[in-house]
Amino acid sequence: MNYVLARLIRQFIPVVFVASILIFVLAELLPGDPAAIALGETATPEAVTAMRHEMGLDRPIVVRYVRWLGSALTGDFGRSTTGKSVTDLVQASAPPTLELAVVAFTFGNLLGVAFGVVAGVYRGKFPDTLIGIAASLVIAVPSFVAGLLILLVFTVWLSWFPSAGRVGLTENPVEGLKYLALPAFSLGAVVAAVVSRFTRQSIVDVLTNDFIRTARAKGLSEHTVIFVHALKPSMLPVVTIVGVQLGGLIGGSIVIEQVFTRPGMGRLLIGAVNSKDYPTIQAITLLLVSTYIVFNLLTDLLYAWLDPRLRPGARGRA
Amino acid sequence: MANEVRPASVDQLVWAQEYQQRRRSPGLAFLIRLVRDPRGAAALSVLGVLLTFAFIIPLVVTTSPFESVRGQRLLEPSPSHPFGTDELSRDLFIRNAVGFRSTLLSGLFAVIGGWLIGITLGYTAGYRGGIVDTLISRAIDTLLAFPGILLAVLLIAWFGPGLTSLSLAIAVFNIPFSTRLARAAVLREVVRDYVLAAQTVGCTGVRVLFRHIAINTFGLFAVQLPIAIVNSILIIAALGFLGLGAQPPNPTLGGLLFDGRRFMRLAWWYLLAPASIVAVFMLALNFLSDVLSEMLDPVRRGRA
Repeated sequence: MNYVLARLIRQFIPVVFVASILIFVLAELLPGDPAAIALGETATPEAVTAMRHEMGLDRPIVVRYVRWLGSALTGDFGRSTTGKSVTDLVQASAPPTLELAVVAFTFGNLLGVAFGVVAGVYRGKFPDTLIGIAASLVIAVPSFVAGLLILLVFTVWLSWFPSAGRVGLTENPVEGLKYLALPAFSLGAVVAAVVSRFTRQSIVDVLTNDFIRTARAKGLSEHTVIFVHALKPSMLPVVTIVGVQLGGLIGGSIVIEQVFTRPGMGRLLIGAVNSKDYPTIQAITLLLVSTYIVFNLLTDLLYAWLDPRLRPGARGRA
Repeated sequence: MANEVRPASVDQLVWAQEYQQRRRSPGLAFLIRLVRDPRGAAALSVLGVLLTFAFIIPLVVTTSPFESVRGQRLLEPSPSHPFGTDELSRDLFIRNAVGFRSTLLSGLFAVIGGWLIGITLGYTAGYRGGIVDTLISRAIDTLLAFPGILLAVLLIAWFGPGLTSLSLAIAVFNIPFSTRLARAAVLREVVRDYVLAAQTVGCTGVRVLFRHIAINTFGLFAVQLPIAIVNSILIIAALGFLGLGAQPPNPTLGGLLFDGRRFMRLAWWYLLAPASIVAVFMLALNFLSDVLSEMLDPVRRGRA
């Protein structure tokens, strides 16, 4: 528990803090007066001064930063340049992205582990070669390009799937899946490929252990040996790449949402960048960065939990 | 005696060494081995075709990438327009070639720029240590807290979309990794005797770093730089696809992907060409890197 707390205080909070300063200052340094922009070109200088006061822009930057972070922590990100509340915009765009990330992550990991086990068990034989080639192909071609090609084949040529939009998975699971299938596949395939490589290597290593020989010598079926004895220990290295994968999923979903014209945080972000909607950009960036750091922290903690040698106070650690 | 081993003179030894070197340099020998491997040959020829497409075609073909011909809107691929035409009646073959070239070049220059900054920062951090090291390292940690292309998107939001800000964003995107690499390299080298010797004869810090340490750590960067360039080219294509790259009418791969996506229902060839170029380019590079690492790694070479 102390370890968790120490990591939280020493790493998580400083990094989020500095990142939030960066996100805030980047928008602050921009040319143009937000008060004048909000009022339009016809505003009198007096009105602009009044607006600056109302928006708090006449205060020192440190004060404005503290107020911004304070309200951000309570879930208030101010108003977007479209006049809507940024919090509302982000709340509306979060479920589609979350849906996509969760489904792609689950699909990718299940498929990756399954293929990895098959490849590891049939090491050097046909299934292994086939899975290896498929994984190399998927890893080589970037997910958004693969997504575009998939889009062209399955929506334009075959018309099997809708090419744009989204239906909530909780509202209508069948329709929702139709919209989700291609983007989730494009994103999840990369996860599956990476996971299958790790799983394969891990299974190959674990199968050389004495306890596997013992299990086989006991007369257990190969099925039991692999799924009961070999699978669990071989998952350790796979679990450790979860954090890296999530980073990829966050970045990937920004582009994939654009490929499949799916409403979500990625599209909200790109739209905000194009219309110079800084409050929205700040909010989404801060959220994505915090999520990413939280998952990296969780992965680190997972390492420590899985491998006691990495805990502080363990022997051999400086 | 026939089996007598006579001591060779220094001249003879030098001659033998030179003879061997002249016969086949290690680099050339490696290249020949690579070409003789069917997979290496395949990857190299595909890359050759793609690079010819990007760098030779724009010089040879006289069609302008900006020229629109009335009545040739969204034409299917044909002998006169191998990749078809776009919504403004421009030839897509030349636009893809020029776009590919510009994407490759901007990747190259942006990465080199970013790495020059990163290497300087890393060298300084590793060599000076103390508070300078802490400050630079923490700044790099902060940049690394931004997942994937989010940092690049944020920087473009700040600078405004366009080729200049795209290049700047890619340069910044490359700083964290190159800084870490350079810092680690300096920390490893700084304890060596030659560094001490250089310091003893009174070399300044800058001279020690850039004349002595730089030369001895160059190999490390030579390996990582191509990987960074390829990754950055991908990010440039992705950002271009998001509409954040070079603005029209200049063609880039990302821009062509973006426009192709818009017109995919009317013109499948519009999207297919740039997407295939990126896909095949990445496949060939990955394939080549697999073959190379297998050839360079004797452990893997022996394994089934």
